[in-house]
Amino acid sequence: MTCCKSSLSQMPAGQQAVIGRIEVPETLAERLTALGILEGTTVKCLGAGPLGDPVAYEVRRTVIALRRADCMGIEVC
Amino acid sequence: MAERIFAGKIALAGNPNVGKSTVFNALTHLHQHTGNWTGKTITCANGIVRWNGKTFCLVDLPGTYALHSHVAEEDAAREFLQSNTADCIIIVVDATCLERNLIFTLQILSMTQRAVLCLNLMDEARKKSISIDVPALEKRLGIPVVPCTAATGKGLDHLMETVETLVENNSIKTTDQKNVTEFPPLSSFVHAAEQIAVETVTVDARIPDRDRKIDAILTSRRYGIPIMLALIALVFFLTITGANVPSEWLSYLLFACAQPLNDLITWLGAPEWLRAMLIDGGWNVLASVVSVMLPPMAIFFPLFTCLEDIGYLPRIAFNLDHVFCKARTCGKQVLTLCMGLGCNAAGVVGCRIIDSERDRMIAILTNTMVPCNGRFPAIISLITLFIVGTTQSSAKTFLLAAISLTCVVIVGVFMTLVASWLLSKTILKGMPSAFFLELPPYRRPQVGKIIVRSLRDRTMFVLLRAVCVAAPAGLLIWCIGNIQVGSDTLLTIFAGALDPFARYIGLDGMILLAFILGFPANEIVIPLVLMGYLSSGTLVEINQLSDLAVLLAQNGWTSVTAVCFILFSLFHWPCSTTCLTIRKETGSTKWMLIGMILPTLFGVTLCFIVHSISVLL
Repeated sequence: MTCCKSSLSQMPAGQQAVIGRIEVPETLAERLTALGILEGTTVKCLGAGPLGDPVAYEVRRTVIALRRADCMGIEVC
Repeated sequence: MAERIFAGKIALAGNPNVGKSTVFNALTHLHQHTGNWTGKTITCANGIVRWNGKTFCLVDLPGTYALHSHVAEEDAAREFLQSNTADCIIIVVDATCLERNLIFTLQILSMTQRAVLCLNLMDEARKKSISIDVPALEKRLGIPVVPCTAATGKGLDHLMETVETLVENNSIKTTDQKNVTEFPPLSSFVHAAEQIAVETVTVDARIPDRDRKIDAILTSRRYGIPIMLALIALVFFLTITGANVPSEWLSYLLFACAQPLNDLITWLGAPEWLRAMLIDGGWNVLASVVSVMLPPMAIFFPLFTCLEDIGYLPRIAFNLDHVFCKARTCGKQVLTLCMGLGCNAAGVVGCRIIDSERDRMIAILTNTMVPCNGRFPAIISLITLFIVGTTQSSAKTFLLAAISLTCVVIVGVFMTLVASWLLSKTILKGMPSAFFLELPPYRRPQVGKIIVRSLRDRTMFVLLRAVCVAAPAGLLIWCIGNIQVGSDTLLTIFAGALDPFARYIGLDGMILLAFILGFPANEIVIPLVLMGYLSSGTLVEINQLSDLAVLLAQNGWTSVTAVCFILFSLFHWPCSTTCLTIRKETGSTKWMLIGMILPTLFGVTLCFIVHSISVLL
């Protein structure tokens, strides 16, 4: 599998990817870890809300919505 | 309560929205409000479980994602677990997303092994063809695992048996509790959970996920917002339509009781002034508040609870988050606004689900800008009379009224955004904190339970408010309406003093006085206005909307007055209960005062603008 790095916030709907480096403020990183989102986790982008933001992601059989601005610093492969 | 009368103390812990409150209610037969969204339980609740001749104390901890985080309610959960007071912890997990739930489970198990895993929502897991190897899970975790479905009560007996055994074996408290400072990094729990899930959970991937299909419609770019507005309008339509006839019956019945009560009091030998004060003052206001408030509340609440149980509220927050982001605040404020539709005091308490101090403060201060149930009936009557412009009860009238009411709520939400933006630019400067929201699976609402519970709880609530607030307020206004000072009554003097100012904002002195006297409860504002208009200071029987129309028109009401009334009803100081709640939640009288002044300023300004425009035109 070729690895082309991009941001979680740029993922197209329906695509699945693996989380790479996470560079966000520590409190958010901690939150994300508690939700099971950390380096190596597979996420699926389910698409944005009616107003284009936030975006819903499927992680470990749960659905978590995040604002694009918050997940800018999260890399996916 | 003395500790020793209990055979043991049990705590319920788990991620948010895994059905802890449902387990709690099922075990204790208590009726804590449950809902399908993250953070419904925001305070610890205590209850008593009777099992096998023994009595256990049950503590329902707020739902948490992690044990070492920076959120207040998560601290509460951690402190409780660390204090080592529980004889047994029931860890409630959602079987449909076991892996994520195990992260939290493992954190608890690193502190204590005196726990039972309650594998809740097994029926849902089965429907989603998720199967869990329970013996393997027990072996891996080292604690008993009990599959159950709390909503139907299935498996709960087995759960209590397991708990009882555990408590008995642990009657001498062991010191297996570890300090949280030696916690391994959070990520190690995630990896361990992942490993356990791989070993114990199998999912049939061929079954398509129904929830994603529903979400594709309910949160879609094209239909998301229109469906949301339509659903809200539908709830209002059903409330208005359904409340109409029962309101008339109740009104007829309660006012018919006035005559026998009159006779009774006279027969008891009470003086005429006392009879008039009790019946013409207290009883009549009580009767009108009960008949106007009870039916809409008894219909609105179950409908709203159904939306809540299905899991629609987080979708509203998801749909609207972007505008709240633009107003520099948190999308979870939508959830608190929704709670505010029921009762603003509940909405203010609900603001605890917002992590950031600044965002929470904004949500608290702006919560009263959505109309609570206490304000709906007055707004609905005025909309029907002055905006729809008819007194006929037809489906068309109700539909127009519902749409107008939806617009009123939209105005409220819009002003909430304006206020939030202003606050974040002035006294609560800063950027919104990171936002995350879990979108729970859709669940079938427990319709029967909801109806029974709402009817009983709401009826009690309305009756209690009527007796404690409406009746005394009725007595008071009767008194000031009948105490003569010179040639005028106190009522006309007060209303006269307020009149010049009130005229500037499109109201009149009597309306403003009613809003001031309605401080204890917004639902008494209209009855007080009517009582004030009727010169004797007593409320005559107003059974029909047409009677109301005539009386208001006689006192100079136009559609502008109605619009100003609705605006002022939306934006003025919160009721006393909400004010006290704001003070409690913010811990300061200063914030409470700001919470009173802010909406009032909005109301006065908006009413002034509307009135001025109408004068110029």
